[in-house]
Amino acid sequence: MNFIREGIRRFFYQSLINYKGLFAWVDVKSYIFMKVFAPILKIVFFSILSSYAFKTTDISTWIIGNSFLLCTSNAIYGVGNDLILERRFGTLRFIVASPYNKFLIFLGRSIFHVIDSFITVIIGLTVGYLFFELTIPLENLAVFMGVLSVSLYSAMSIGITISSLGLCLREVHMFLNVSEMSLVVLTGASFPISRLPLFLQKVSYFTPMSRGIEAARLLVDSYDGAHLFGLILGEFLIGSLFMIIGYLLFLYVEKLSRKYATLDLY
Amino acid sequence: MDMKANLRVFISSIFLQMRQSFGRSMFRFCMIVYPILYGFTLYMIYMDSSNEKIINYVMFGTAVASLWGTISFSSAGDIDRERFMGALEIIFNSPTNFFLIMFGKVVGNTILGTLSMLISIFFVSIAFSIPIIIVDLSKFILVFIIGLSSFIGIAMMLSGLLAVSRSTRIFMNILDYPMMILSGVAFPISLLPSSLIPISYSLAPTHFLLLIRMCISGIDNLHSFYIHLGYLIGLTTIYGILSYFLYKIIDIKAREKATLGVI
Repeated sequence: MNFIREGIRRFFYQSLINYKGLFAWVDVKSYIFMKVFAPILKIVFFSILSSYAFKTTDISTWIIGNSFLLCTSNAIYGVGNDLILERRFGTLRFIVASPYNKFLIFLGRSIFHVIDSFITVIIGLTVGYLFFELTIPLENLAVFMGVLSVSLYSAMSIGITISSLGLCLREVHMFLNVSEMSLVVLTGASFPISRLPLFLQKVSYFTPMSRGIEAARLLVDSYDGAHLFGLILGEFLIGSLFMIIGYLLFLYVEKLSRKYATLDLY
Repeated sequence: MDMKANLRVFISSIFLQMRQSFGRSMFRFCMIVYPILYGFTLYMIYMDSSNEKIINYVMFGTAVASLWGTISFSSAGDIDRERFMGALEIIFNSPTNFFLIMFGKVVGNTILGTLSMLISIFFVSIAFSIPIIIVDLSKFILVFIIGLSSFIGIAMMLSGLLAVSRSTRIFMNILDYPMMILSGVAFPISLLPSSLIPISYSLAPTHFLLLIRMCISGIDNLHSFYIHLGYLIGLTTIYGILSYFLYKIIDIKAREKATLGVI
């Protein structure tokens, strides 16, 4: 029993250390600017834009979509940048060489980012509630939080894939920024997915967060439970699929780097 | 240093900056990829709107947002990069005026920023078959040149602020959305609360966009055009003067505190 407790403690401790080490904020002021003010301004911008472009005062759909996407700062620039930063700091070789289970390392890395992005998304939704008449029925609130948690898990999974892919690329910043913008385009957060060209609609179908955003939107109005469950399950499966792809990709890069001794090379 | 030598330094600074900037993947993202992805997103949002709205808010909204990204954001970040690489003190201590070197850097980014603007305009036009029609071309060119000068002024002010205060880096990262909200990049500023309109009018990009939109659709009210043009020229002059004095302050502070290169 003690062994399990110790394992869990180490898992969370390592997750926290990783979060602090690689996604550290210099001070409280920086955190407030980047994680409170920036999301507020982003939601205000997209809310006014949606209201004007779609000629409607009911912009709950777009507030939810854009609030969910606020997690990209953690998913892309936090988890997605993770291994790239380890390599830059010269610590990647220790991770590879350590006997610790690599999958747990991966999983642990996203825990605090999920918590952190949860707070950011809530800030976005609160702005929507306070200034743009966003209401989530109280009876649906618990399910809504569940949907949000699954969506954030899914977002972090794409971060893990990006992180592993980043090890193979030199142009990391370009890659991270394109990934963030691609999520904006493909998740239907800011416009209906039906507006995308057919090919991109199919890509959107396999993009993490698309289903989560759709499920959260359903909860604002009346909804069909089976459809909602299908969306949540789909989101979870896509998230897990990306998590596995990211992990396998890391194992492949690790194998290559052991063979050619290129782990730390850009 | 004589005028000819200063000019040589200025031109060298422009070309060096252009090479350095283009070498960075983040800059290439801001210059090439961002206009395409942002233009695509805005078009998807405005898809059902009139051609006039698409030209005003998608085509030129994206163009100005891209210009902002490449000129102001990158130029302001340059001083931080020079500091990080340990080159800031060397530039500062060179016999050439620090202001002149930084001015060259900003102008270098402006040239690339203008290309970024053109990329966004042509992307929206070609990808979505939106014709580029500018009713008053001569006034458009005049407004465009003055507008670019105002962006250079903003970039110089931001780079100056960053030289004296490291907190500016955080501030700079969240500056995008306030600028886009207040200057009406993607929607008219009339949608903003009335209390924010005066702030909006105190920004040169607001007048730049209003003037550009007037030139595109044809100037109905010449009086209004000249008022906004006056504002744009006035604000550009103020930005220029403020930048100049800011660099004077940097010169004193850097010598007093000796923290120019401290990260």
